[in-house]
Parts: sequence; structure tokens; C-alpha cells
Amino acid sequence: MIRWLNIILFILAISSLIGVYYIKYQTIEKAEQKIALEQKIKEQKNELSLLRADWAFLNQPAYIEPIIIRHQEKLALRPVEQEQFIRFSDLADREISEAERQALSDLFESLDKGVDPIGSLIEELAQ
Amino acid sequence: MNFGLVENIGAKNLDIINIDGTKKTRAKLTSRRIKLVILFIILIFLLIFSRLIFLGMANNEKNIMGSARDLTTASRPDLNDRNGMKIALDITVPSLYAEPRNIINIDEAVEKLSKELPDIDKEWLRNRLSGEKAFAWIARELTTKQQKRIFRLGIPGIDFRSESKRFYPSSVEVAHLVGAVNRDNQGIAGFERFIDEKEIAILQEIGLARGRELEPVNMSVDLRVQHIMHNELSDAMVRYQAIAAAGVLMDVRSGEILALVSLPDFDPNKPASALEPYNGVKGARINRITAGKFELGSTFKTISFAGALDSGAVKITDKFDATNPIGFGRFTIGDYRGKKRVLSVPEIFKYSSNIGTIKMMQTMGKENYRSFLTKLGFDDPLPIQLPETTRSSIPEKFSDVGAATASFGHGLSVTPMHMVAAIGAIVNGGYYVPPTLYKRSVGEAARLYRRVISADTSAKMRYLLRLNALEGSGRKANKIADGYRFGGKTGTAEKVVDGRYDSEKTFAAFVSAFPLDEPKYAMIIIIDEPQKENEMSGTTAGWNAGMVSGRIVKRVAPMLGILPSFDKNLDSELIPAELKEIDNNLENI
Repeated sequence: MIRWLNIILFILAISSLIGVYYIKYQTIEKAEQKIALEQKIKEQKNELSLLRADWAFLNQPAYIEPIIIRHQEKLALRPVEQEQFIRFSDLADREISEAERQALSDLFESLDKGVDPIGSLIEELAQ
Repeated sequence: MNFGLVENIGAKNLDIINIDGTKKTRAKLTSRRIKLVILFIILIFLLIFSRLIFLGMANNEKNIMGSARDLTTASRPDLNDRNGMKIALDITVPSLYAEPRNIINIDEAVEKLSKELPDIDKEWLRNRLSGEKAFAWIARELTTKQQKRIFRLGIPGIDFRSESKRFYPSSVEVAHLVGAVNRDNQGIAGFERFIDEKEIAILQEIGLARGRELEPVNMSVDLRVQHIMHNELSDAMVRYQAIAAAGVLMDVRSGEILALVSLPDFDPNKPASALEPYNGVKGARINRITAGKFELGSTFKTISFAGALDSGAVKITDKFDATNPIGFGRFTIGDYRGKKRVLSVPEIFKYSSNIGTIKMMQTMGKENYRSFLTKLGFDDPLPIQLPETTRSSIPEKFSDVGAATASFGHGLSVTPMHMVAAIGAIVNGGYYVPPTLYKRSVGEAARLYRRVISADTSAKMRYLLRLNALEGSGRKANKIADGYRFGGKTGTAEKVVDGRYDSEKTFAAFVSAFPLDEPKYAMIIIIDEPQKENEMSGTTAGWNAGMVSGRIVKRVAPMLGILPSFDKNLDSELIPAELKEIDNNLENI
């Protein structure tokens, strides 16, 4: 019986030895990976800091304004005048012609009936 | 194995009679030894296990490979403007260095490196790389692309180190606000220095701020408003050939500074530029808003009027005789383009009558006037988060003539920041609120409110400021900023040259507030030694500082959510009830 026990223990010892070595090298490998990843994170953080700086710089009013001035003529841009600001509530309703009103009520009627003319148009286009 | 049993029997036998044979005795001894060994082994294993548990628990941060970590310079918090735009941020940039004693082939290294870095002089590089030094910088602040390419060259003995660098995307526009940092990322001027002294220094001391991200600091500044003020003031420098121009815009409800510009300025990305002379003048690039004090001229009448009206000694319906100049011994003080008649209080303000203002101040009493200036914070050090501040200089006690000149802003110098804080208190309903560069809600600011004038006086002052924009010296400004219920007071002071006032050299200031039906912002613009823009224009403040203010308001107000309104009722609602009564009585007669 003792002999069997010894054999089992011996096998266990050998296998745990192998196991320990395996784990040890795996750990070293993982550590290498970790360092590589850390390096990558650091690089990307550095790059990110530069990109953030770029973003902040490109969004500066001081950067955008000269561009606007350069294209002012072509795009017919002009500074907004005081008279051009108005509240939505101060805007008069647009006048609707009788034809338009009729078309609208037709649309709502057909929607009530479960027919969606605009939806079917889109579906046709999709096909 | 049945040691136990044997022993049991042995022990029992021992009690009775000891007649064990030698073989039995030896067996007993062996069994004891074996037990001892087992105990010993168990103890060893326990020790190993406990050590294992201990190792498992310990949070070991050092990595096995022992790679050298980068020496990151102290990091600083980002500075955000009130809308989250970056005013200042840290960028990490690689810098190239060499270990000359490890370089094998210098010629090859120089050849390869100069291909990647064409700006570097070859001779200089060769000198740099030769010798037995352990360390030498080659190029600082490279791009990551350059770093990769140089890395691929595979030159032994050269390496990179990451360095943290402060970057100000708006460069000159925020110069006097942020100040600057040195190579070691320590604040040396402006807000940067302030936050160092206040907060980061402690963190850095205990080693927390290194290589670690700090919470961004939210500033009160609005970069768009800041840009516009900088833009308009730069324009003014050219337009009026001025030697300096500065301005500050404050939220009168929260005390937040939305924009602060002082020209000439410098590039905070290159701190050394702050010391460069401007047009041959050294030290010209100071922050005139907080570190400069000036005789603000007639703009100071706004303060005098608020004091006189609030004291109760002068009523808005009162009239003062401004026919003749006032004499103080050998001095006489008259009016610039005087009306030479009896003027009502609003007229004195509108025509900026020195005589009228002096009389109002005298009615109030010079002691009361002096203590009113203290109440408005002119004697206190500036409560602003900038190290570059100065105190206003106001005589501790006014003589008769001193009080008289002080009432129209001469013989005392104040910083524009003191002035804008006082104007804020005058228009916002009467509460002094200390200006700040930190983002702050009105609720937080309300806890700091200190009442300096009554709400009624504040309302009258708003009327006077608006009146001056509609009918007085602020007309030109108001024309530009039409619709934003803008009002202000001009001030043109002659500069003191060799102890005398020089009429050729003037100093123009314009204090203003808008929208006056619901005051939100106060502003002061100063222009030093403005010239005529063209033959048709004048040199008084209405022509320069006033118009600049108008142009700024026109561009800034929509951004700040102020809807233009041309409703005449808004203006007439500002008229104090007492004055309306008089009008009604006149109509009845």
C-alpha cells in the first residue's frame, strides 16, 4: 500500500513541479503583455492629449473667425443685425391657402382610415 | 498503523505495572519521534501557507520586468471656460535625449537623425553626441509621429522621455487671465499661479499631482466673449493708435468675470514674451484691469451720483446751479462745454457737469462721500483670483478741493476691476458682489451679497445710465448696440505728464451696463492715449471707449441670450416715478 502511495505522491510532486514552472512562465508572459499594454495606453493617452489640444485649438473663435472672413464674400455671410432676432411667439402664422388646407385635411382623413400616403411613397422609393 | 492503540495499552499498563519489553519501548519512542516530525512539517507548511496568503494579499504594483517609468513632470488641471471649452490643458509630448557614452557610431547617428530632424544643425548635433556625458537633450517637444520614425532608425544610445507641457489653445487672447507656467509646469503668473498657491502646491508636495489626472477647474470666462473683447480692443489699438487698451465684462448677479483683456499682451505659450518691450516701452504688458490704477475721470460721476442719491441728501428731482465755475482758493473748476444754467440732476449726469456733481457731493458731505467709496469696496484689496493686483489709491481724508475733484474722478486712482465691481453693485439692485474667475451660480453669489445702496437708488442709476446712452455722451455707443438697452458713462481724463495735466494725452474710459431693464452685465473699457480716428471724430471717450463698448455689446449680447427689443416702453419704464410726476404736472399746467 505504501508503495502505491509513494508512486502517487511522486507523480503529484512531478506534476506540481511542471505546473509551477508553467505558471511561472505564464506570469512572466502576462507581465510582458501588461507592460506592452501599459506602454500602448501611455502612447495613446499622449496622442489623445495632443488630439484634445488640436480639437480645442480648432474650435477657438480666434481660429474660426479668419476662416469665416475668408469665405465671407463667397458665402454671402454677414453679421446678424439686431432686427434679425425674433421670438417664435412673435412670428405671425404663415397664411395657408384653401388648397393647402384641403390637402392637409385629406391627409389626416386618410391617416384616420389607416392609409398612410407618405409612408407608402417612402416604401415605393425604398423598393 | 495502530500506534494509538499500542500506546493506550502501554499507558494503561504503566499505571498498573511496568513490564514492557525493549522492543515495545523502542516502538513507542519511534512513534513519538514520528509525531514530532509530522508536527514540525505541519508547522512549516502553515508558515508557507501564511506567507502565500500574505503575498496574495499584498498589492504589489511593481512589475516584474522592472521597466523604467517615465518621469512625468507635474500635471496641472485643465482650465475650462464656462461652457466647457478648454482654456488650458496639458499635452504629453515626447522629448528626445541621448546618452553620448552609449553611442557607437556618431557619424551614423548624426546622419540618420538630421534626416528626421532637418531643423537641427549637424555640427551642433555632432558636438552634442560626442563625449562621455551620460545625458544630453537633443530635441524637446516632438510629435508622436516623429517619435515613431526616430524610434525605427534603431540608433543605440538615444531614447525618449515624455514631458508634460501646458498648452493654451487661445494663446494671446487669454494672456492676462491665465498668466503662464514655467518649464517645470509651475504657475508663475495669473490664474495659473493663483491655483498653484491655493490648491495644487499642496497636492504636489505630497506627491499626488504627479502623473495623475486632476479635476478640471471651471472658470467663469466665456471664451467667445473673451475673443470678441480681444478682437475689438485690438481693433481699437489700431483705429485710435492707442498705447494700451483694456476691458472687463462682469455678470452683475454672480460676480463672474466673463472676459478680461488687457493690451498689449503676450503669448502664455511663450512666457518670456510677457517681458518683451512694447514699442520700446518696458513693462507695458501688465494686466491693466487689476494691476493698473487710473484716474477714471467722469465715469466716476456714476459713483458720486449713486452716493449722493442714496444718502437721501440729493433727490433726483433736485436742481443745481451750474452757471459759474467753482473756486477753491487758486483753483477754479468749470465744465467742459458747460451749459451755464441751472441743471436738473439727470441733466448734470447727461451733460457730465463737473460743477453740478461737485455741488451734489457737497450736499451729501465729503466725509459721507469718502465713506461711501469705502462701502463700495474701493479701499479693499481686490477679491479676484489673480496675483497681479494693486490697491486703489484714494486719499484717506478728502480736503475740500480733493473731494471736489474726486467727485468727477480726478485726484484718485482706482483699478478698472474695482470700478466694474462697483458699477455692478450700482445697477444690480444695490448688492456688492465680489468678482470671481471661478464659475459660480447666482445662488452661491447671493450668500456673498452685501447691500451698498438701496434698490430704489439702483433703479434711478439705471435710468441715468440709460438716459446718458439715449441723450448724452453714450449716444454713439448706443447707436451701435441699439436694442440691447445699453447704458453707460464716459470719462475722459487728461494724463499727468511731469506733474501737470497734459491736454494732448488723454485717457478714455467707458463704464456700462446692459440690458438696463433687467441688468445682467457690467463692463468697463479703457483706452490709453487715443487719437482721432479721422478728421470728423473727436478724442473724448464717447468716440473711442464708448464706441468700442457698443461694438462689443452688439456682438456679445446675442451670445449671452439677450433678445434685442425696440420697445420704447422698456425705456420709459426706467424713468423714476418722481420724474414722471413732474412731467405729468407740466402737462396738466
